Amino acid sequence: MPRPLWDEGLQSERTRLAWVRTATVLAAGGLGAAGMVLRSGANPLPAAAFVLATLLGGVLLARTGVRYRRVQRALHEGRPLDHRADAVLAWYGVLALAAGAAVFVVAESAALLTR
Amino acid sequence: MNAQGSRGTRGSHPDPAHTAHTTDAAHTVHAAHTAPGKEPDPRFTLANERTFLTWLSTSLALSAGGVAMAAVPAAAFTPWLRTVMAVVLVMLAAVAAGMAYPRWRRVQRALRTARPLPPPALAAVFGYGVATVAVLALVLILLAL
Repeated sequence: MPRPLWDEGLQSERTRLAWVRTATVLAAGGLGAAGMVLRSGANPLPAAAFVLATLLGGVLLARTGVRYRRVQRALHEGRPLDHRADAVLAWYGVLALAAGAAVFVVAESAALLTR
Repeated sequence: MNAQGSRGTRGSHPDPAHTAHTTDAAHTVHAAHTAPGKEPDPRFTLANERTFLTWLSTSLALSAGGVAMAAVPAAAFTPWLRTVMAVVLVMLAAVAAGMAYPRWRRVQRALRTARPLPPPALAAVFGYGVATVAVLALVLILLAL
């Protein structure tokens, strides 16, 4: 039997969707960027960062159900919420992707401007 | 695991271990549960978490924009202008990503101690930065026609 809603604002559901959105963009963006870099034959260093971002996004996606159930349980039992580990993983993934993008842009620009 | 207290617990989270020392110690950055103050309304905690995730998504979009800008065919845009736009985008992405986690912790600490939230730092920078890049890109596209 489904558990009754914790609140009508659907807070936990919206938060779950925000996690899915961010993790999907992280994984897809990392994958696409890595593919583009490797196909273009540019400096492969950013590709490593993009692959790392993809892996972290995949881990976060795989943890969606566990995280959601944990939030639901904490809400229903009145316990404090905490999933800082996931947040740190997401942060590292996004930082890796931003760093890879910065390296890629600098390398491409240098190649373009010295041509 | 069962559904007891599905409504009554909202907003009043007893956290006896931490209610004793409410003020002082805004210094412990990485300690939600050893931090002072009391557990905030879970709705606010979740809203803060979504805001954090939205900053991350914003950073991802800006990174994608920067990479795309750097990857368009060399003949399309004036090279140095294209470089400037790409660098601005990835720098905004790095700033958005870098500040997201510290800001999340800061907001959570403000919620715990019932203090005013930190102001939306850098929101204007992002607005104007992205707008500038968009206008420049539009001008370049129109000039290239």
